[in-house]
Amino acid sequence: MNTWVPLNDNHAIDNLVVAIKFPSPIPSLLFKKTLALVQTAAFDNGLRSRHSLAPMQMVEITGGQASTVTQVPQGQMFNSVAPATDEQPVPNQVIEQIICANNTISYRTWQYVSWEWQIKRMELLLLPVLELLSDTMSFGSIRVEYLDKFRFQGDIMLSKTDLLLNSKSKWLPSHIFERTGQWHCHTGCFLPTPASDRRLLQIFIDSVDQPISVATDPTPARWMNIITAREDFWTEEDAVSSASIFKSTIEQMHLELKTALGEILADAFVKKIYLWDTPQ
Amino acid sequence: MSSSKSSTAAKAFNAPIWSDGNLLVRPECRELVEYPSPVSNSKSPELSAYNQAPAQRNSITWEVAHAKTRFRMLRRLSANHDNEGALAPQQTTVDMAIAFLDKLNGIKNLLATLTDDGEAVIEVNEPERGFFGEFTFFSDGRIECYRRLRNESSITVEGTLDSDSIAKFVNEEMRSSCAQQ
Repeated sequence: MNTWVPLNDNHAIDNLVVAIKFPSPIPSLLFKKTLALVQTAAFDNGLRSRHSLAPMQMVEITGGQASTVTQVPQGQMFNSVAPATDEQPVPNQVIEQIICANNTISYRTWQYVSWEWQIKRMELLLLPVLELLSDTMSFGSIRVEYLDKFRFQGDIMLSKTDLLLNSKSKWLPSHIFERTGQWHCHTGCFLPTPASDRRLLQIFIDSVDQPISVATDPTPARWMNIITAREDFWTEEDAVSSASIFKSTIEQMHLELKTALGEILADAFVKKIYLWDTPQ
Repeated sequence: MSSSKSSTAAKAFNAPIWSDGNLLVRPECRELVEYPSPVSNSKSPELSAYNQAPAQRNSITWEVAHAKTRFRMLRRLSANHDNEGALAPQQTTVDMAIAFLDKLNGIKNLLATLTDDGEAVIEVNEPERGFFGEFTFFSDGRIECYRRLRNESSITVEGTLDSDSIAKFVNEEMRSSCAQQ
């Protein structure tokens, strides 16, 4: 008791997102081919629950005047869903997801296995479509994002941030180590790069009180949710379009995000989640 | 700081971030709306969706979570870990097994183990009623399924992670058999 525990017994990853954004919408004919290819890859690899992306309404305010703009994003979402247990009325656990919109393709998993495994899954699910698009579309950005979660076991008021986070970390302000209430700490920067592209690193930490489990245990607990994200942006002048850079780019981002997480966590938890001595 | 300045600063910093991030989190927002986040008024409302994520994990049973944990431990073993010459775990097969375990959600008495050749194996063993099931994972992507039940002939099926034959085996031979107890 009175200790932090990772979301899973030996790792803390709740979900991983990889997203590719294009600087302009994919032309309609090409987008039809894209959707067909994504659907084939998704269905072949177990993501057989298909949904159309819902329309979204936005209100824009320019110069004090409001104008309503309705955007209808084209695209589809493909999910794989874990079977329901006897206690559940219907399956509701999405474990893997692809979203293909007309300017974004993203992959998300709530079933993180290992980095090697996720790379293989992304190759199966995303590479065919990236190869199709590489002749026509350039990448606007590529983003890799992790959400790691830790829960305090014990009285919330006794939770101590410095048991989990490194009080000497350059990414963390000192006040969070003195607080017993909830807080959030969002930081980020553009990393130095010789090229004209931009490399963004973000670290968002939220200390929040939420139920241990909505379905089975409503007892409030203190959660530490840590999002680490890396994103590369390209301008039109230095745009890259080759699908082959996709893998090397996200491999590099993955390593940098592990480094960032290692700089945030206390040493004991770096070891506890096997951050460096096992493939994650 | 005035609100307009704050808003401008947030916009300047967040512009390349949240314009992209919006699309990524929207599906999750739809599923998880019960618990408002204490940071919902922050500059990054999208995060509130992430903060609600524990709700999603409730439907995976303890048995599945425990088997995954055990596989992650087994994955780190070296060769001859049993002092009897067992090969090192074949990590691809262990990864396959971890990914496959969600398909067994709700099935009890799961055991994560390895063959002497390092292939991952999931066993379902209920000796009191003569039920034994086994999934063996091979590095070429094959999954071999076996089921033995008292007074019934044994069944063997082969397929891949997302093949219909394996899904049918899980539902008809494993899940149905377990439900009969």
